[in-house]
Amino acid sequence: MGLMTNILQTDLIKGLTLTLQNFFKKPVTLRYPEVRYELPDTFRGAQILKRDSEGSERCVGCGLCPEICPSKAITLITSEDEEGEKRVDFYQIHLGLCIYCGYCQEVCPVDAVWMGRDYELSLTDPSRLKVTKEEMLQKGDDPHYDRLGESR
Amino acid sequence: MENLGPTLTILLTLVRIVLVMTIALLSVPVMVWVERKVSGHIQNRHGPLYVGPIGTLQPFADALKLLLKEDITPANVDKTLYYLAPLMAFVPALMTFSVIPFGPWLKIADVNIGVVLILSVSSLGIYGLVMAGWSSNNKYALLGSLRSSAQMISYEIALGLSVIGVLMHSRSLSLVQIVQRQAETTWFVIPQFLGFVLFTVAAFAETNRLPFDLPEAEQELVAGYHVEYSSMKFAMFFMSEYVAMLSQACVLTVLFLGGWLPFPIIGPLVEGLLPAVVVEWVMPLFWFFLKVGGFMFFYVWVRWTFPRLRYDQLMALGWKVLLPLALFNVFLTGFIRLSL
Amino acid sequence: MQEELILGYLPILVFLIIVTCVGAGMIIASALIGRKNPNSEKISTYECGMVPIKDARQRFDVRFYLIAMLFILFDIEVVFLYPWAVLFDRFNPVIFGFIEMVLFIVILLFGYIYIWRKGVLSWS
Repeated sequence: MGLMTNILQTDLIKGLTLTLQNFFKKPVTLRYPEVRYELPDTFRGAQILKRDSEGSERCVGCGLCPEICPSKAITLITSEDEEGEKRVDFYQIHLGLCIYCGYCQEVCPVDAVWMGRDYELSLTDPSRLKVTKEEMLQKGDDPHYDRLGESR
Repeated sequence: MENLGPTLTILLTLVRIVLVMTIALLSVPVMVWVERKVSGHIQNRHGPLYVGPIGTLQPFADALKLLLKEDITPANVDKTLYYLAPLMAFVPALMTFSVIPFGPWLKIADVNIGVVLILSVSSLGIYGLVMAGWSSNNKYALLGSLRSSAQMISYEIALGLSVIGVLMHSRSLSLVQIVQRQAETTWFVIPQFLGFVLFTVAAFAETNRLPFDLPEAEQELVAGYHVEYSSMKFAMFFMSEYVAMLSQACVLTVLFLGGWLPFPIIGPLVEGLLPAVVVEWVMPLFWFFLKVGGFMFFYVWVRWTFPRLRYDQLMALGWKVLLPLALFNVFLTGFIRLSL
Repeated sequence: MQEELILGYLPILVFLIIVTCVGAGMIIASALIGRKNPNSEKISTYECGMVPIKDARQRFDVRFYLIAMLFILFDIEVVFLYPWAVLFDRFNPVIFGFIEMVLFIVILLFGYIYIWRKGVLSWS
């Protein structure tokens, strides 16, 4: 009669106490669209591009980031202008390919590309996954961008 | 009330019937909401939040959705039984309320065989499950209904036997007189504690609640006897399950927890602050539903605490533990009353 | 007196009629309101996506029948106990009623022990 001893034992009460304790705890679920998770400082979201102190873009088109990118998400096309200076014609990150490893940020010699804080990246149009230089610069220019993803 | 003349008596009875039906049917969404909310908080979640204030309108939205869903009748079913089954589950579940006194004035009928009527009517609900399982012509449904009926009839014996101790104290089968007897003496949970525990366990099994929810066991039987039902017919099984839960809680309250009587010590203190009209008309209902509500919370609380029993354990608990204990309880009660 | 007794059940009958009407009304209402566009896949018997194998109405475990028979026996016992329990205090002398019921239960206990030893109650 193992069942009998089970009934007379205090195990049932113990279990009930545990669930009751949990009932009075604060829920850990966030009410997501209204309440947001506080992002850690090292959070890696969609990339942004930053400008230098004079307002022109920092990226010099060195080609290190497309080289190191493990998933080949970065496309870079450069050309030379009349003065023989390198110019970035086309810079694109495919967010569907990106694994958000942060190597591009690590490798960048001029601190132009940064891992941003934007994680709400779901789209209905897959072509918009390809983010160009202009869009990333725009995100970098946004003064409120650092607060993105936290409580609005 | 006896001398009010026939017309007024009939009118009053009709009003009571409508009131009781409203309470029984409206309690379903309330219970569903409480269940989801309590479940959520036990699992450190929020539960329903967005439909209505703190999600209170969620069950109504669900009911509307079920009503508007496509009503699928599978090809191989026995049409007559298939359509009759939800009705056969729904009607007995509600019929138990015909003799439950919610308060001194809110009851449909007070017959002198109240307890027997409740037990017999509630066991009629098994027909609904058997009909649903058989007519669906689905292996899961058939197995679920077989398990369900075997479980319900097994625990019904323990349920019936655990009440006997109460009857020995109350000297009546009328639910109103049982409550009145408790007013004269004490709540029967004190002299009948073993009976109370047995009744509670059997009530969980009778209503197919966890840890005795083998008829529905999602992981193995998908949903049990109502697997082939959709739309409102499914909703009726769902509702009758919740109504059965409520009626078991009500019967338990009446038999063991003093029905509409106020709590000792706290009760008189609270009632002393209120005007006499409120004490006479509102407070009995308040105490009754407070007790029932507490038991509903207990249902959900137990649900998220104990794992489901295996089928042989379930049968062993019913036949080898509860039945002898219930017989022992009859014997014990007789012995105690004899020596007093 | 007799009339009053029957009149006491009248509300229950009225309640039964109303409840049945409400229940039937819900079935009919959903049949009328709900959309209907069945196809052969939708109305086939559900078997987790498989094509159903044979009819569901096959032989099932005999123990379900045994449980049903035992239920009838024991439920009758319970029903017999009800009037006894209500009248318990009114036996003269009380010990007479008590011993009578002990005898009744002991006789049933023999049957109970028999079915237990026969293994009807174990499902493993």
